[in-house]
Amino acid sequence: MPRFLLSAAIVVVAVMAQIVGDRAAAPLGLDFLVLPVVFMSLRRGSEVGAGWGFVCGLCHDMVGGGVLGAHAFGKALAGGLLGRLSHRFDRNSPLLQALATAAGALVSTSAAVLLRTALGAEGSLLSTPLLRIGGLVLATTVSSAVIGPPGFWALVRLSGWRYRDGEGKWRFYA
Amino acid sequence: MTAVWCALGLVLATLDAHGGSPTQGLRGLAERLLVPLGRGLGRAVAAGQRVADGLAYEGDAGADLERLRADNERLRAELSRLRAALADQGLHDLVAASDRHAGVSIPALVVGREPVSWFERVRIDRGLGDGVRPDDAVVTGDGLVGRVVSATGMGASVMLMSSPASSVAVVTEQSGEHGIASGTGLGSALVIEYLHPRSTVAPGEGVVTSGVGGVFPRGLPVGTVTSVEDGADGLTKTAGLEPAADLQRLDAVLVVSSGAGGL
Repeated sequence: MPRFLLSAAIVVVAVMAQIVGDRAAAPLGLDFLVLPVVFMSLRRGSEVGAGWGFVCGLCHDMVGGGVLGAHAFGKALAGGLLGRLSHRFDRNSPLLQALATAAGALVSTSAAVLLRTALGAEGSLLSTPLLRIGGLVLATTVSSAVIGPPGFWALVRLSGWRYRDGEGKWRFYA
Repeated sequence: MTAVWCALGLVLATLDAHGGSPTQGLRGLAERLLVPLGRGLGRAVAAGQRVADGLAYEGDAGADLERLRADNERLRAELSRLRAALADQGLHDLVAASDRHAGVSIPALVVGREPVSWFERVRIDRGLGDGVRPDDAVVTGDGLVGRVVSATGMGASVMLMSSPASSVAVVTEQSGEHGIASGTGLGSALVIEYLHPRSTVAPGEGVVTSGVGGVFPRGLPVGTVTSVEDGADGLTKTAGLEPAADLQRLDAVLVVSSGAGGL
């Protein structure tokens, strides 16, 4: 399958998962759209990660109906930052994948909330108590850590972006 | 390159927060793609939740149905009696005017809702093309939900009455006290501030829209008083309010549209 079609399919699946997650389990603050951003940041570095962050964030803004661009900004920032750090760690480790997904969700959600606050929009620290916002950011971070490793596994299965190392083990990254 | 993507997001957000027309076009395009998807998935999730609720239901469905039918008959009879009483008082014109200004009801589905602004705003799948206008009231079968704050061709943003930015002119049903209900930012709870210090409002009392301000039609159920306390200034009273509509789980709503930008 051509790379752009595969990329589009990944984004569409993530958007569908986000719609279902927001409707069925809102208090968990599930962020399925951060998964492909973190996945691509670890795989391809900060430039590609930031681009994926912008696209997935824009989809998140459209799905949620909030300020258009807030999640795009947050996820682009998260993708760029994680991409810069990715080569320093063992990206095949499930623990690292969980931590990276949690960090991506933490950075992107916090950045989106701060941007909304600066713009005086809804879902900001001006309109929602700090305790509630903090609780949601924490819930998003923890739930993202939980869905990180299985999400990575699903993305690898969907994309086929994997290889066997010298010992015959499946690896995601070189 | 990261900076470029971030800057693009920043510009978009700034334009959108200030009602920029380029973002309206982008939102319109997104709605064409995402609204049907959101509608379909939303229905599937709602159906799943209904099945789950049904599995957890331990009551006697037949008895509940009979009770609801009896309630329905009783309420219909009461409505007829009240209409007849109004007519006896020579208020035919008022009833007719009330019917005339009831507006057009447009059924809509909630297709977008973010956890961070869960009790502040939702996105519905009906917009300007369907007759929805800014300031239209949005209700469920149980009561008021909020009002439309912006609309595009295929969708609209609804500010929930639980948003701290929302203000609804209300009146209590028994004591007849007027006030302004607004959101607290803490879940779906509402508060009515600046009630008269000698107000006789009591917990359990129903609250409806007063029609003052012209945004919401008069008489829409808003909620029930849960508590009454002295205000922080000691000169007024404050009442806590439980919304009549279930703002936690919004699925299908009704937009009460005047078709001309407000009621």
